[in-house]
Amino acid sequence: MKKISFLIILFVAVSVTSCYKEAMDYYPTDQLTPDKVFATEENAEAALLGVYARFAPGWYKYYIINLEVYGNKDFNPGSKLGGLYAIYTTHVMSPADGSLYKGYKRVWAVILYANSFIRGVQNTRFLDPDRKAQAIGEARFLRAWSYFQLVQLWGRVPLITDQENYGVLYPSNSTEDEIYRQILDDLEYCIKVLPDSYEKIVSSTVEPARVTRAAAQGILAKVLMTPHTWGGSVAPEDLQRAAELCQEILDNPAYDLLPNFDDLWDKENTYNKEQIFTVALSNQGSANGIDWSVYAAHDFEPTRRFYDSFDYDSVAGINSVVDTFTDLRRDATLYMNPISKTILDSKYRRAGMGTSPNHSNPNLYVLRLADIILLRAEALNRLDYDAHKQEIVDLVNRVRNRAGAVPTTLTECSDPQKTARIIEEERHKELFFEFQEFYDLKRNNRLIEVLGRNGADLGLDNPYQTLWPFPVSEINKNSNLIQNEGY
Amino acid sequence: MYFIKRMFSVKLPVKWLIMLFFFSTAGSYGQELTVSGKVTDAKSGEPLPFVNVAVKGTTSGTTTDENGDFRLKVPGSRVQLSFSYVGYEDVTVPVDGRNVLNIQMHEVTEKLNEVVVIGYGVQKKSDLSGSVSSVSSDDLIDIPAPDVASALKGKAAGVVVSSTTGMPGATPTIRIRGVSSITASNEPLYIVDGVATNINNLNQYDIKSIEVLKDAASTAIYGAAGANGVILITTKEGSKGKTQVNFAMKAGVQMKPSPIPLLTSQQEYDLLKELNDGNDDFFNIFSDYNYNDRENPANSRIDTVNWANVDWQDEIMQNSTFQEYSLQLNGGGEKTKYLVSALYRNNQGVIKTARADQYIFRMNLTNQVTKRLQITTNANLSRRHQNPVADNTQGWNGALINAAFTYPNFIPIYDPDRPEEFFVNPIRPQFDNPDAWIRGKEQENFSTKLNGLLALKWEIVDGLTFLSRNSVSYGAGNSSTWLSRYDTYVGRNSQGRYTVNYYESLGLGTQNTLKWMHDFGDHSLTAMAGMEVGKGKGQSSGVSGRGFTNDLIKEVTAATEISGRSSHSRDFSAAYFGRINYAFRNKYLAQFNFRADGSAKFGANNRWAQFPSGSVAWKISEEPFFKKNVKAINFLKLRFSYGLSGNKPPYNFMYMALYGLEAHGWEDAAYPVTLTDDLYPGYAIMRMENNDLRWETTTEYNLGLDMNMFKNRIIMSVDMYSRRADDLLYIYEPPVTYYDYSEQGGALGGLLMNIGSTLNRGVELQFESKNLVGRLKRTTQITFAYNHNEVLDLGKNPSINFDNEQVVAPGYPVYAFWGYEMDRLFQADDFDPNTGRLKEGIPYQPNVAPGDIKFKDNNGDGTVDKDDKVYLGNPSPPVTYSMSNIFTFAGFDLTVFLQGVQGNKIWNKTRVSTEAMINNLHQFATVLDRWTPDHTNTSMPRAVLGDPAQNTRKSDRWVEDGSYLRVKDLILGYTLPEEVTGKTGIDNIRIYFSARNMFTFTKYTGYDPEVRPVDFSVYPQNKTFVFGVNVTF
Repeated sequence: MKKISFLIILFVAVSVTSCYKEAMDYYPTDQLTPDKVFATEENAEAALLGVYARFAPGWYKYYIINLEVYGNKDFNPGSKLGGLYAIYTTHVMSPADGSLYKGYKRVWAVILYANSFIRGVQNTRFLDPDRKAQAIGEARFLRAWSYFQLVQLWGRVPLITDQENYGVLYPSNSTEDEIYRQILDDLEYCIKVLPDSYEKIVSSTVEPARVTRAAAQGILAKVLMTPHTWGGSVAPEDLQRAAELCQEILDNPAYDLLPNFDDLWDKENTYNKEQIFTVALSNQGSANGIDWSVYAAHDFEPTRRFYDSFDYDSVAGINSVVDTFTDLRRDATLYMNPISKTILDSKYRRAGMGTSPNHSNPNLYVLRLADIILLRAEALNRLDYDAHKQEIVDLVNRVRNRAGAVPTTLTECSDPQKTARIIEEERHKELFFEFQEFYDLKRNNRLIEVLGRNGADLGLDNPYQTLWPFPVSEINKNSNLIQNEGY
Repeated sequence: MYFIKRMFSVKLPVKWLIMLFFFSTAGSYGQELTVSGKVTDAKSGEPLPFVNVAVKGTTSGTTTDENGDFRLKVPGSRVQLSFSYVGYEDVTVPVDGRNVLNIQMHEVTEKLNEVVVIGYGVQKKSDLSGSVSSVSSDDLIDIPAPDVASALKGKAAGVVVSSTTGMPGATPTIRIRGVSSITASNEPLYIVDGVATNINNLNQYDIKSIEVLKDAASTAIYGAAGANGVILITTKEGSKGKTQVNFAMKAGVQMKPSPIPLLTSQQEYDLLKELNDGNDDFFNIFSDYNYNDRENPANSRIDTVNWANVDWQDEIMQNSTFQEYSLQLNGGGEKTKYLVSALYRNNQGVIKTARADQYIFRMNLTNQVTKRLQITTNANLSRRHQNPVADNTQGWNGALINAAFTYPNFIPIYDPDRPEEFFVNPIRPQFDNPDAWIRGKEQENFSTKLNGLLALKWEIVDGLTFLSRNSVSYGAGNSSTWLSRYDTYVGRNSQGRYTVNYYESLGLGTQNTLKWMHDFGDHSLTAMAGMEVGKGKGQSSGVSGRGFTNDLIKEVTAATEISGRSSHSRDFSAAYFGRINYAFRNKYLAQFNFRADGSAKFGANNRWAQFPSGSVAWKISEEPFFKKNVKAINFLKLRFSYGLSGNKPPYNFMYMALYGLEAHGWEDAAYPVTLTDDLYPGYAIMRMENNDLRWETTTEYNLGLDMNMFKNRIIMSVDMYSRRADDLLYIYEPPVTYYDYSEQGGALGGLLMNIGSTLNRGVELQFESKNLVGRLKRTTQITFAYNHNEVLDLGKNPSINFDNEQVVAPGYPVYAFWGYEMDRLFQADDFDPNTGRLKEGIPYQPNVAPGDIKFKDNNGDGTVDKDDKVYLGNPSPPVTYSMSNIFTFAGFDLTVFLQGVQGNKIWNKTRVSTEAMINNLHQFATVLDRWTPDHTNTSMPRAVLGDPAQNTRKSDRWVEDGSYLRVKDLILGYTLPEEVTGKTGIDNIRIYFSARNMFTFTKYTGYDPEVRPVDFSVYPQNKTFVFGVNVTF
């Protein structure tokens, strides 16, 4: 009897300790769960495109318009858009603003997707391990670039990667240094693995929309040149490296300035030699669509001052042959209504006001060669004016000559400060409405001087205004998140 | 006497003569009679000596001898004898002219020693330390409930059964001790013979007993399935002895509800004139003859001289019939007992063409293989066939009852020139008339369910028992819908549509427990340990076709456009559990339960859930001081319990990340990577993973008192409980660092997380008394429950959508009604005569005019907007009660069962479409009281097309008191006397008449206050009359 009861207990015990773990760890057959998405290389590539698709619509519409209004000294505050975006125009930011929240969450969405991708793709088998590294590189670039935007606009955002803080519901603020360290880490990896061009990854042709090595180099240069906090400084080694990165891009035969500035904005030149990194907005409507140009570019009004600042029938310095210069950028960038004299953007609205489809280049430039040229000039100027002053002048003139503007001289660029102003103004004219100005001014600690009462008098008078506030809903949801000072 | 003679005079003349003799001798007064007999213990059959036998109302009497026999002279045959004995319940019987009376007496403790089923075991009722309500099968048999769940209504305190629709084949919802969960299910766990299943495939005659486990201490043993209470159903075994045959028949009619008064055609026309004032083209269709132009309804004509005045409620509703036949055999010998039964139910619907049929077969076999080994096999097969008719759906073409109210009744049903065709609605062609809908849409559902159980009980050694229960459950079914291409608008648009869906599922389970009992001295210990594993899989597929050329072939093969879908599912769960019972001198009791549950529904970080619980009880009535001094109370027990139970997430895999081709269903995840515009598909994350997803946990305290008085003439129990549910599943909006929100306005989306808490606290009372035990017996049962329900907390920044009628907000009941409050109507003198705008001091409301509703500006900010919305009422009744009185007299029995609820509100959404007066729908007659410049003293607003002032906004205009008291069941039965039936070999015949929902006292204006909480033209349940016969032989 005892034996039998022992057997019973054994039987029960065995059935009790059976391994249920495998039985409970299984996946549904009719839903796309991570096991399927990362099972094959093909699916993983589609997941990577999902990361790109997330950053494209997130980039425009809510956030870069705000950025341009906030950072551009020549935005007309009395315009219709100025009224619509009042808090940006007057630089009195409200944490409760809806588009602030949308912009913030859009940039974060890219990071979420990138982290998920990097984590998930670890287990995928790629035919070519180099391609796998590249794919991870593409995701890391998008993440690094998103963090770069976040840290410049919001400062101490939480740091979440596929390794750290992944899945943490209520993350705390990180520090600027930590974030920059992560960005550098990601971009260095990108420079090592990203190619110069892509071909036949998901299609049968070249795939110029993907991020290339030059894009990583360009963004890295900017990162190196940006002080971590307002009023901070940048180490000379970093400036040196930044200048070198720019040079590598300039030396790259794949990139060159387009001879005609106007061509950059034409639909015929969606992808061109000057472009290093763009946001590909398909011309087909929907979330990625081109309603961008119908939507906001339509109402963006630059100032008259800006219109008049371009060289028109100007004469060069006393030592030149009589030669008139007309900066072609004026008419490519701006459109003045002959009757009402209102000035509107022209880069994104070709062939009529707000007609769709229209003839503008649907892609938005994040980096193009002209930007890199001026960036190198800026880096050299900040590093050591005296050693590089001639090169600086040549770089600036390369951009001016393409534009048809009056070239600068060493006499004009007589010291580092004056040179810095000239480079700043050149960037302003060249990259107008290309969502750079805020970052450019911030990088050079010039926001308050340019946009405050000593400059354009648009209300940016205090250091706390160099950062945007965290959206109020984020602060309410996450008690670990501390709002930026001043808000 | 006369009555009984009449009944048998025609049928059995011989018997009549015998009885005539019999009764006439009994009818003589004053004649002495000698009565003798034997008194035995009802349970053991042992004779009871020294039982006191008295003639009621006199001092004469005697006692039984050692053999339990007695002999006594009584002064007439009309007297009653009462028998009393220490430790036994008193018995009183009328002599009724009988010379021999053999009496059986029940021990007082017999009732207490009754065994009830608890989770994974049984326990004596008197030893229970948790809160358990028992319902016996006798209570369920003769009420005309269509299913077992409805039969439980009002039987157990705290168990609220509500039928949300009266559609045949539908099952009601049961809530035990209030609503706890917000998005997860609130349905209790149903267990039949130890196996979890659903109960709409059960034959109520097969049920031996139903126990409802209410507190967490009792349900903790069911772990992550027990948070909402557990309903344990035990089916009958066979019984030793000769084969007993039970035949039952029920037939009845359910009356259609009293029609709600609607406008006449003329009154509707007058309303249309008011609404469409100035739009002369609208009235082109009105003329003096009827003409139907199906292709161009604008050319149709409506006769305004001889109005059609169609009574739509009468057209689509009928008094419906139902019937039920059941045959049950049970019997057995020394080794084997069996029960075999068959049931057929047929139920028409109150709405024409709706019906449901069900067949249920059962076979229960119990075999005592050896002295120590018993094997049980149970099998239940149920087949159901249903023709449902949709109600309570939100769209036009599904809410048939709503259509009966709102379809203009001046439009004739049929085309006068082609009577087989329906008249197309010229005002709104896509609104089909209800007859077209019934005829043009055919729906059919079939389902088969097979449940099998193989159980093994092995008494290994004395006190050690091994029990293994292995079950299989198989279900399959299909549902098809055919939309004719002629009769309905939707059908015409898709040129006919046929959809058929199939599903099949298989579940397997095994439960193995080991139980050990031991008594040592004053201590008694029972320990039980067990494990349970369940596995399920299912698949479903469907095909849909459209574009038919005619109505001849109603299959997908005749369609020109065909589409389909398919899916598979799997489920797995495992659990360990155990229980220890300890009793000291059978006075001080303690119980401890534990369960660990593993399930594929939980996130990867939380695979195993744990649920401990404990309870103690003190049988005060066993204390010597009590036994000596308190005679009136023969049983008193105080008990306290504390436990944890859980509720699983509703679906599998909710913790996993999910990808798709579009984010949020519309943001394409494709990207143009090449030189051209071509989009290359990408995957978007549709849902982030949540590996922390877990079960909901309920923590409950229960304090209870059980008291039996006067030798079980009064049995009552009182419970007080407080239950808190935490980690409730709720859509939560995490920070954007964790979740990718959609751009779309309105609902932003969110993640299902364990984030909320609710509280339910209350009191339950259950009372039963044998008021009269003489010739006329009367028993009363009362249940009463009060429950306070409140949402405690929803985490940080919850997504409270205050735009809905029902809101989940901390401090209020779950899904509380929410909206504006009406103040009065605007009158002409509220407006400045010059500007036409509202006068100073009146809170601003846009687009208002005299006759519109002025809503309250509750926050005093001068504007009426969504910040002025307030709490409007509780959708679940705080108070539920029932009372049943059962009278028996000379073979007759009368049951009067009352049931009611108090304190809840109902959102009468039907009235939103039938009293709105904002579009050209037909309306209730109540709108005759509407505001017009000549009739301003009213509370019904004006008729205005398009509702510019939002008079139909979500407000207390639509919220009504849902309290009601119903005479739920009136049952009159008669059991033929033994003398009559005995000769024919029949043991028992009972016939009865029963009336359900006879009288309802309520302020609610809709069809039925029992349908809750939002009534949008729901299928009504109305008065039902049943005739039934039960025969046992």
